[in-house]
Amino acid sequence: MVSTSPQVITRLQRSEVTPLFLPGQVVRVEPLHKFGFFVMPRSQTPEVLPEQLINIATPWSQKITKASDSGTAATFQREITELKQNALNLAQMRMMVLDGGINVKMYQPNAAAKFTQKNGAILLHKGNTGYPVTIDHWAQVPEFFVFEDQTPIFLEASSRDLDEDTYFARVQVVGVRYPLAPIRVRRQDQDRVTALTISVEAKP
Amino acid sequence: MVFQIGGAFVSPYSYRVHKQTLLQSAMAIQVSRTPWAAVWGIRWEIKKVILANNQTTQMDLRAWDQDLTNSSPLSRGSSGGPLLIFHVAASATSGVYITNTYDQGVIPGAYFGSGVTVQPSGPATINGHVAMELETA
Repeated sequence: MVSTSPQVITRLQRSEVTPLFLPGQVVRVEPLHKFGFFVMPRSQTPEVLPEQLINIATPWSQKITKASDSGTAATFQREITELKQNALNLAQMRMMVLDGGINVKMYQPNAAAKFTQKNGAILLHKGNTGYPVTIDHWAQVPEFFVFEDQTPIFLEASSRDLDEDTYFARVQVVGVRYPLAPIRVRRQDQDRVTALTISVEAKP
Repeated sequence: MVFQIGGAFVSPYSYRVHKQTLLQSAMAIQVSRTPWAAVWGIRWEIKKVILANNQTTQMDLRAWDQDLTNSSPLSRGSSGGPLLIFHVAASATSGVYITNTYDQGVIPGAYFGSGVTVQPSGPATINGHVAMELETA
């Protein structure tokens, strides 16, 4: 998903939520044919995005139905418009599931699940996302990026509780926002530019 | 393996839920069905119990591992041979609740792979209440 040019050590998925890059540094936003290279202007600075509490369900109209005995569960997916950014802004975010008994799958775009292995996407839940926060091990908290309003995040909630339906499938998101300016990089130089590479969309 | 965080003993990558039920007769009743499907690999471990009684006689509460809705998952224990027994004293005044709290560190780490089932075994068997904090273990 991510890489850097050979001159730069990776800053992704750090054990702290700290700015990924600084004024004057270049970021390569993949897929390159849709997005391209950007620089954070010297006159701009990263800005912390404080915690946002987002409920995938809606009290008291959209519930998450309790799971079936076999482990299959009805799912509910919605676009998380709360995470959209302004023009020429990139957000680096980490997400924790707040409610026990809820599974969450993340999609970007809505047909491409993130955190996927050969057998499918890893289900995010309070245990595998909240526990790392509890022990201050942020490197294991799922990280993702949002560029402007062009790379929407979709979250799909399902239940892992056999006892009752719920109207609460909440996640918490924290992050950092980077104001950017586009730069032109000649095609033959694209793999030589010292830039941090991030991906905001699955490649076809 | 557990870590102590802020006074709580937490298993790595686990989470906790709260479940409760009224105790209205000397019959088995489900506190929670464990999400026992293989895809999840979850079993419950009781981390905290608050047992309430408003009768003028004491209440014992027997707990064992059973899903009362589905017989596919294997049961462990029974009302006659429970995995754990909790106790709350008699209330001094009928109708006024008295509680007993079992916190982590005093509850043996019994696991419940099918479900947490309980039964009041008296003398008081009505108007009781049990609340539990369950951890994926």
